[in-house]
Amino acid sequence: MSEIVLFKQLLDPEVRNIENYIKLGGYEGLKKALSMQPDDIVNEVKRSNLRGRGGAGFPTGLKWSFMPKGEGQKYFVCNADEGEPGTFKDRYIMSENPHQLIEGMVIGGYAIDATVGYIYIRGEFEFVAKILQKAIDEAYEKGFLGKNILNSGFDFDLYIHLGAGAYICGEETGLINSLEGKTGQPRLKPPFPAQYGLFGKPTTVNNVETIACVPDIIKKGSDWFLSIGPDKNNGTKIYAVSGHVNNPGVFELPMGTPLREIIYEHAGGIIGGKKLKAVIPGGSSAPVLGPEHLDIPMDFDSLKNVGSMLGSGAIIVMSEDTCIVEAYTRLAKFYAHESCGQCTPCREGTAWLYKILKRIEDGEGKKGDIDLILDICGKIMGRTICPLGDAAVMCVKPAVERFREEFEYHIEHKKCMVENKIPIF
Amino acid sequence: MALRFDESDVKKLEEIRAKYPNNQACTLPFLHYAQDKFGYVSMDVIKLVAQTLNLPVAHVLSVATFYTMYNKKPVGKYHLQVCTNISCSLLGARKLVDKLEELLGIKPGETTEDGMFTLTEVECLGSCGTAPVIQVNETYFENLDEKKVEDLIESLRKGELDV
Amino acid sequence: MISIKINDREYQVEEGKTILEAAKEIGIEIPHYCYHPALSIAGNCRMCLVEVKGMPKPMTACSTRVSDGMEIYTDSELVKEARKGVLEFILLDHPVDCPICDKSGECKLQDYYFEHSAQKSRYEFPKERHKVEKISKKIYLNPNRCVLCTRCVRFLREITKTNELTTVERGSHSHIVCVDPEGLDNNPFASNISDICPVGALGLNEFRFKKRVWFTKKVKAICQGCAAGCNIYVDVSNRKQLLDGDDDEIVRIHTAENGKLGQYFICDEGRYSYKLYNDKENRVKAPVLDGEEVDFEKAVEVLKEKANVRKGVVILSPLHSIEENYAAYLFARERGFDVFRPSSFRKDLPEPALFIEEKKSPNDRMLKLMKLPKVSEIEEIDYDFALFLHNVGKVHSKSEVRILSVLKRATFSVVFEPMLTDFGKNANMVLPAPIFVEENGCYINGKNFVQHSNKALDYMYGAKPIWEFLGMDFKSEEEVFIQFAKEQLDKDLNYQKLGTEGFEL
Ligand SMILES: Cc1cc2nc3c(=O)[nH]c(=O)nc-3n(C[C@H](O)[C@H](O)[C@H](O)COP(=O)(O)O)c2cc1C
Ligand code: SF4
Ligand code: SF4
Ligand code: SF4
Ligand code: FES
Ligand code: FES
Repeated sequence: MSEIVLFKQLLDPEVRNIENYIKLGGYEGLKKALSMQPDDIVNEVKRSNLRGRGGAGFPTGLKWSFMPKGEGQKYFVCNADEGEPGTFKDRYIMSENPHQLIEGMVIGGYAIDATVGYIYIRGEFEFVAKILQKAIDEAYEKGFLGKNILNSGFDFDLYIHLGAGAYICGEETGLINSLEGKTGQPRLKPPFPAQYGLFGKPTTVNNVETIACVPDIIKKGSDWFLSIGPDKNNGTKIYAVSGHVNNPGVFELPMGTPLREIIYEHAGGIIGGKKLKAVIPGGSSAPVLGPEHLDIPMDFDSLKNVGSMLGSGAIIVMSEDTCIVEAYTRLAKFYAHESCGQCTPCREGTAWLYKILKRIEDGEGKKGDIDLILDICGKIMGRTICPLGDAAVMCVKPAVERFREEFEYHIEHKKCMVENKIPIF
Repeated sequence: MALRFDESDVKKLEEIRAKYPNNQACTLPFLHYAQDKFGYVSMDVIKLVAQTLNLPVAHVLSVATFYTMYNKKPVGKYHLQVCTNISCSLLGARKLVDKLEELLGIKPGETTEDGMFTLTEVECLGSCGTAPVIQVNETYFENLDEKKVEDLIESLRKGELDV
Repeated sequence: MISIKINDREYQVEEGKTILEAAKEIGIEIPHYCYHPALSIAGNCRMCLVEVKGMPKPMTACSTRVSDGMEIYTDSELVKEARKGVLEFILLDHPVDCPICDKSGECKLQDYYFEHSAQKSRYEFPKERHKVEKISKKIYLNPNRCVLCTRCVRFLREITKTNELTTVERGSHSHIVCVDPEGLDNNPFASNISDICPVGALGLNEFRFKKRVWFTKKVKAICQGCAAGCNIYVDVSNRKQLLDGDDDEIVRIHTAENGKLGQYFICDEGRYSYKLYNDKENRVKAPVLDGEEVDFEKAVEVLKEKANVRKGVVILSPLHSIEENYAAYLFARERGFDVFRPSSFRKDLPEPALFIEEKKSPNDRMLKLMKLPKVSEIEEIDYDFALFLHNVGKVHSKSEVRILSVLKRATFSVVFEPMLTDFGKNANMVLPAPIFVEENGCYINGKNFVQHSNKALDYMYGAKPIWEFLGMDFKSEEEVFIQFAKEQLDKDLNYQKLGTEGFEL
């Protein structure tokens, strides 16, 4: 069995209780951290090569080092919005091993000199938030949260903030605005959150999985973390596999585990022994891959090299029974629905893309539609306030390019070329 | 009819307020709270929240209409939110919607006449590994198929499930 | 100062400016919708995208600050293509009902479309439609024409802090709604949103379907409403230009910005004040002597004779331009007459007041600067000759009383005013004064800015500048102004030197 960093529930199903968590060595990372200088923690995280698990893979230690030094309120925010289609990993960290996130929050708060932390959970996860809140209460009781934590003189308060249904609040500045009680419209950058973040104060936002890696990095040292996974892509990764597989679910594996192994061993292969048609390796915004990519190591750099991305590590598997036109029409609908509406190209472009795709799917596609789609994609990409516009393009464009024939068939024959498909619309 | 928060509400709202440095940050949690209490977020609820927080109605309205979880219309006792995003759809979410339409005699976006059920199609619920999924009020029902949906509706009708 | 390159030419610009502002100062206009100099940066329209060397993506000029050595392209192929894209997106849901849109002719969507796009729409889906409605007594909203630049929302949130409008919903369903019609009714600045709106989504009810803007002449002037001296555009309908036979009149007043003064808006009172000037009924239509209309020559002759006395008085006016006042002043000085100034009429400030001044006259400061005594200081009121310059508007009621008694007791009294008032009715002679848009004139506002207001209409109804009635030999308004500047301000100023933004004393 490979190393377990995050899913301690596999070692003890009751680890969500603080006593059990402590028995497994929980909160030792915190104790050690509080005996260190904040800068040394930042450096240790830097050395560990921990990269953000929220999508972009930005080096976490480096991000922490952007926080200004000196007086004044600072905030540490956990991104638990988990809205990227196909992604369902943070949820299990929070519901099964919540203390590891809490411990990571306190360590991170100490490292960047933040005395208040917020965990922004998507509103639909209220049931997860309840489990997490119970764990937070326990941590307060034990003195891992609150004033003068473990007699270190460090104070840290941790609150949960529930979202209310908006994917865009996963984007960190949309999240910050939402936490401030506004619509989740992303902000212009610069200024970056480290300069002007939550309530106008320096703020760091990290993903749940990222933060949950921190306690063990501090406890066991960066060298231990570096021993897992390929260079610059270290640690374990939770792969969330869904779609046409026999055994969908979350799997904590060393970063760089080949796609084939994940799909065919851990996720039990494709339903009915069907052929793989397409696979999205990192949540819906990651460009689609095909069977020829099965041997790719699932890490940030390897996926980047083939023009896709690790994103959230959510693997969506589509068998030969999938109509790509229909699947991607559905995804285009998602982006149109979730565009915050702030900037012109995304607001109008995503809606337009969906309408054209829907007409193709409905058998009313026109001859130039495919080129029109690609042209619209070009007019969105790189021209928007936040990466949602880009994400919509990275979702739709590679699929249309790769499966162009299928789209053309739809337009020409006014019907689908896939038999036995499960209808989406 | 003027809506108001009573004393016990005010106490709970004050607890929420203590988590944040300013009133505005309470907009989302107060709207959640008000929706729980009043059933949905009407214009009166929006005004009440604005007034309670001393914020412009314009602000609260824009927030309330931005987020999908605030119901701007009354919903049934059971709000059936079927995920139809990719992973759920790949495993037959459409069939669940069809089944529900048949069982309840309503289309997505509608509420049954007896006020029991509202049917809505929603985006990814973060539960794709246990697709297809329906969220009923706050509770997730996972790994569903048509048969299970039938059973679910029956149990709900009988009031056997606490959601 | 730092040096940047725009389209391969080098410029020195101030550090900290955005690309859009720096370019504007150099005279390069970068198209934009959401940018407004007085509002926060929204960066949402994406119309201002420019290419910055070394950057992987086009940048928004409105939000990107210049840095030393930056190389910017505002007309590269990439930029042109980006603009075209944005315009196409904006137009997807737009009704393109220019023929019935009041903004037509001064609409940024229309202008930019012809300048940067001019392509046929490739959109073939039904457009989302919202109700067009009056959202206040003064304003209507047509959400279908809206480009969602949020300028109006930001204005009401950041400037007046009254929040009557907001965006609702999200994605392509986002639109603007009014949550507080009454608030707009009572907001003393509400009508600015019709100027701020770059398209025809917000407009004034009273201007709706009233005039095509190309049938009007737009002239920059100074508002006469108070001592703020706001820069305004006066749109006049010009008989010569018009086929419908309308009389010369002011069609509307709207905002002209003055960055130096930090003025980007006007108040509604000023905006709607134009109606006062269109009052034809009460206009003094010819010189009147003892109740009888006389011709100009006769008036001049009588004035010359009546003013040939020892004890005369000239009462200037904070409601008149420097030129009118100073000519009358010189007339008095030549004859050794007394000169006084009335106090300005004051009004309580509305809420919010922003830049509105209590003093309801455009040129109070000039008379103060000249250190003229107030009319309340008039001791001996039995004059042989009295001249009072009056205008649309009011002076302080105490001054009014005083002036009336001076006029009544003078052996011969003259009132120079455009509309007949109690003053004229109590004078021996009334002279038809021009209204402010009938001549060039300068005013000194409460912040000591000398600003120039342009002539927009010809003198009407026999109106003439005071110096012509007084037989003085000035060839133009400017000549009077130059003399005033030299003698009173000790400055070598003329209209050109004042420029469009005025001169701070
Ligand atoms: C449209 C959009 C949605 C996003 N959704 C999420 C999300 O649900 N969860 C998350 O952790 N990061 C999400 N991100 C990435 C965040 O903006 C941010 O990069 C991340 O939270 C940083 O954390 P990390 O450095 O630990 O990865 C999203 C980004 C975009 C553009
Ligand atoms: S890209 Fe889309 S989601 Fe992002 S700010 Fe623009 S409209 Fe909003
Ligand atoms: S109404 Fe006008 S000013 Fe307001 S957002 Fe729309 S286009 Fe902009
Ligand atoms: S503030 Fe004064 S000068 Fe400005 S528009 Fe209003 S009345 Fe005119
Ligand atoms: S796609 Fe249905 S829960 Fe994710
Ligand atoms: S003017 Fe720059 S984005 Fe609108």
